[in-house]
Amino acid sequence: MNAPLTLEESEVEIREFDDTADRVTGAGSSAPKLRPMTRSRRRRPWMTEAERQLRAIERLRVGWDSQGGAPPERETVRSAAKLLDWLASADADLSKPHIHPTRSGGVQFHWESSQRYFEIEILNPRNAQFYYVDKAAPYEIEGQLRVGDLVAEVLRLVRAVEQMR
Amino acid sequence: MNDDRIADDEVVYLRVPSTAPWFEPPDQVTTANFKLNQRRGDLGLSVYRASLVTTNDVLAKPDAIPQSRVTRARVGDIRALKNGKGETLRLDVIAVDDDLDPGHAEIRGPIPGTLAPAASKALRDLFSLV
Repeated sequence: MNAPLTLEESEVEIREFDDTADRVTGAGSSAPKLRPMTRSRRRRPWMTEAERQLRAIERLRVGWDSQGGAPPERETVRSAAKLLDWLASADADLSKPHIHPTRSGGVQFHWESSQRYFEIEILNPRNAQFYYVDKAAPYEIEGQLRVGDLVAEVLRLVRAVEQMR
Repeated sequence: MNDDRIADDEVVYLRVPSTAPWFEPPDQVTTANFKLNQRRGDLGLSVYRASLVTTNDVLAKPDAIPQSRVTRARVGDIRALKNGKGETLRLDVIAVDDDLDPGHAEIRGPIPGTLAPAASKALRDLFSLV
């Protein structure tokens, strides 16, 4: 039987995200870097609830959505956990996202304020798609990315939503 | 199979799971409820016509899990939905019922089998819990 999922167990993987971000942006050693996570970092109080939700998603069965949908695969849930842990470690003020499974076997996070909304759906262990809308602008953007790539951009969009709270 | 257009003034029901650990705050309807099952090759979002079935009928369908909830929206309002830039999403609602699933219909985008994230968001904002 597999060990229960915790966000903390993904700490080693977080460094991969940092490395990838540097490669994607072409940043050199002098470029500003996102603060890497350390084991002494403060644990966000909402992480316990996030873990509980992700564990629940991991245990879903076929038909969980009342439409015959398949549950997310374990590795997809873990990939989502890694992403969330990275975001939380990079932004001390990050609020808890809403966490949902999707009918296609993905895991979705979303942040929302009165005018802005951002969601990212981890489709599988490697790929994700995102959507951001600002109703006041009006402006919206959607796209796909590899989990681990362009995480800084994801964080920028999350922060844009958080600023409107 | 019957592929008829449904009148704008009709109401459709969409079933969502509820009281599950991922719901927060309780009973929140999310965009995840308005996404297609790509693995299964869904052409559109399954809904039921209020003119032909009751909410109890929807909750009694074979796939329905206990404690599911029903949301509702007017067909004309679905067709009028726009994305975040104010552009029409060109959604339609068509009947796809058969003898085994009376009242069944689907919300489809301009390309069957594809529903833009903006459409899922607009649908989430439109549908309300019964």
